Amino acid sequence: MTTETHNDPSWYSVLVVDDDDTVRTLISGVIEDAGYRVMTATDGAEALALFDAQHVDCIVTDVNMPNVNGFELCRRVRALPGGERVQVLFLTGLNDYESIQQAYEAGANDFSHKQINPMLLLERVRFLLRAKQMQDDLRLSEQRLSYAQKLAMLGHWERHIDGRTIAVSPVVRSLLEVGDDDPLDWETLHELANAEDLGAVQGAMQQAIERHGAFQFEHRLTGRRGTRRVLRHQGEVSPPDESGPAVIRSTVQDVTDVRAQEDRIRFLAFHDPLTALPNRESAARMIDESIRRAQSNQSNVAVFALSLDDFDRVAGSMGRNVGDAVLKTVGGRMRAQLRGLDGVVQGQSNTRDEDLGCVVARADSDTFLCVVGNLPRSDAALGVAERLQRSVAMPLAMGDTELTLSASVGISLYPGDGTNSAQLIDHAYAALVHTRGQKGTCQFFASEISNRARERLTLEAELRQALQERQFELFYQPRMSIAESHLSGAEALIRWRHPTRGLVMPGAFIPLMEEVGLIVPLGNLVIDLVAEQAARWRTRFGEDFRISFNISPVQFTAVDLPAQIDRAVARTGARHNNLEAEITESAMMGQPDKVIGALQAFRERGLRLALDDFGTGYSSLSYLRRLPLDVLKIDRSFVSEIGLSQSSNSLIGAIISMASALGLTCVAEGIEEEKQLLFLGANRCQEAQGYLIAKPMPVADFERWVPPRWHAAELETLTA
Amino acid sequence: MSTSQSSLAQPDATAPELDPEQIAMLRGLRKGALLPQLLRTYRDQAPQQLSAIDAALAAGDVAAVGGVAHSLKSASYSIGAKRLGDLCAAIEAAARGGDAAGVASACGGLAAAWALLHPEIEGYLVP
Repeated sequence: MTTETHNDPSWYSVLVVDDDDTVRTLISGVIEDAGYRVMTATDGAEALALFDAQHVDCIVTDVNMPNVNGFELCRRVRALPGGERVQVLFLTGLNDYESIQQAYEAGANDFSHKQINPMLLLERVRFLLRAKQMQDDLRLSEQRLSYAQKLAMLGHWERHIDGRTIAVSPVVRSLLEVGDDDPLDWETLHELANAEDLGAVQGAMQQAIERHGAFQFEHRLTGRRGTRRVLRHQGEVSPPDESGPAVIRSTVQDVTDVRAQEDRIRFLAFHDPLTALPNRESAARMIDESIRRAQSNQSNVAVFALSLDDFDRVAGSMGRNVGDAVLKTVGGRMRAQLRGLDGVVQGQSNTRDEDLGCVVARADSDTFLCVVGNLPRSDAALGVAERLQRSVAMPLAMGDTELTLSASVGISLYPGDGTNSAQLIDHAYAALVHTRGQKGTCQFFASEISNRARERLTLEAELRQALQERQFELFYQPRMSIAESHLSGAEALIRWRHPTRGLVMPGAFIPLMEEVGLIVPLGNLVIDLVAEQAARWRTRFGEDFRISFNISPVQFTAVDLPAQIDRAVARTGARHNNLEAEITESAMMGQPDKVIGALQAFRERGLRLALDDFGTGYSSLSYLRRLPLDVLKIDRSFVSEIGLSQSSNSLIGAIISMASALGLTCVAEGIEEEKQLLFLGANRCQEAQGYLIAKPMPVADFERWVPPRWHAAELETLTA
Repeated sequence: MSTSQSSLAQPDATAPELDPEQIAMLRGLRKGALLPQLLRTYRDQAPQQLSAIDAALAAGDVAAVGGVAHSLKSASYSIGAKRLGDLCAAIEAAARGGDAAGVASACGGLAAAWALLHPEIEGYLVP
């Protein structure tokens, strides 16, 4: 059966009913001539019999007929199955208004005067048949739509924007489990929908209403009979027009199964089927999520790659089932452990894992990935790793036997070790690889946290021992007066004679000693050694011979430096004027008053003060004037520039002039070439220090190096 | 189609009884087959109806006269027999009004009208 409107009139059957032979012949002749199939009947009874047996699209009938008249025929046809869709045209007498009215009451579609031109009657019939076809098509398409909607569990509803009532299709009633006769309005939907979803629903609707646009939303719903469903609404709001206010039309689809499938797929995509823990992908997502949060609250994220030591051996000897049970138990324990991280992470313990920023995921066969966000300090990660290891190490009851496992952990940290999940996971694994062979250990990826932290720990212990065992000694580098070409003093430089590594330069241990506070005892040791040496060399190289030594800024705040120096001087017999303290510009930044107070005390005692590394830090002239300085040491970087350009030469010249103007003695460091020395002498720099003259040397070497003529004692002997 | 009710009593011998326009229209239907079929049907039916009117009139059954006249009217108009149709319409109207005299008077013209019409019909039916 075709459904399109067809132009072939032979598809249509017209039944002509008239008891007058001539009239019937004429009308049927005219209609037949137009191509329609025509049946004729001489009265209503005959017409009814034909209608029962044949398909009839249109009936053209006389009013007055024997047996069953036209009105009765129409009424009875309308009552038959399919009879409501037949077009019925009455032939009436001219001005026979009573018949016309009766005809309509009986269910007529149209009427025509009997005396009308037969061709005009034909047009009436054509019109009626076209109308019928349109109705049939519409009805068919509605039927089809309804069938399709029924198949797809697709319902629809329609609602005036300001109305509470809604028109709904039967599918909607069945989805809501509301009976056909029960009231159903907009409130019913609200009442049955999950309260948590209503906000989103109303938001979507409100937006669509404001914009007169399309909308779609989903919500969960519990039907009147208790069935839980997920419904998807998709529709649009048509703006108000002359026919009335805005109308909301929407389809409703039951997507419960689809969503359940998707949930299942999502779960499988992001979870490990054995332990039901998140999998590696999902851990990666949570790491990225934690990173976003860490960016906003300046916290740290730690990623732990945790591997069960000897798991293969356990699973191999006790069977796969035991192996699976171990993984489940251990995974659960670690999850519980991470959830209990009160005080370690910033968050409430009764929130979801993800919100807490703590996740245990199973990444590979025996490897778990744990994520802990919101760590206020990166070193807190070590504590978390130890907790995880302890939770693994608790005995496991497997049937009759009890197992005890250990875990190795590799740790990577955001922001230090990476800025995304891929980097952090890779680096946690890399750190884990470094634990191989050492069961139950823990390793950070970052060298500054792992390797260096361990090295520092070792170094710190060694340095403490070195202090106790006096492994430190002072080397001395000569300082000479350029104009007079004689030894004016020496700078004391610390060296660590390491029992296995040999001589260690200060750059390798001073920063750590400053950091951990060991610089204070070391500084005291230096002061003692320098004072002892100054006392000895005072007699050997003359009363003016000075030894300069470096003071760390930490020493100013930690101890009473002037008193410390006083004690050393008193104990050794040295004089304050044989000592020269070297401080750097940066040492005085931030605490000048405290420093200046100590420096004033130095000056009162006759101890000289040198500004070291001049030119490398920040010193304003006014600041220099405030300091009770005696000596300015030009940094080696300026000296190395001598002769390289006119501007470098000018700069050094200016520094020397400035020092001279301030009444300071100028010492150039790092002199390696003759021309540098000549230039400095020509520019009236007073003293020089550097490899050109001599390297720093142990005391014995220093004493052997000093030319005899510079030995004050010998000079005195000679002159005497 | 004219609805004029004039020239009831005085037949005009020169004018055709069958409306040429109606005949032309009917001739165009069903490739010319409808016209003779219609005329034959009318020719066979009309005398019976005329006899029925006579019988009812004799019996004094004015309503029955009106009923038959109604039928004959439609059939007559169908073939373009305007004079006979108009006559039947007058009979029907008088009958509906209970005007026995009017009915009788109008019926008096039926025989003459049929006498004029019948040969014309036969003329169309001659091959």
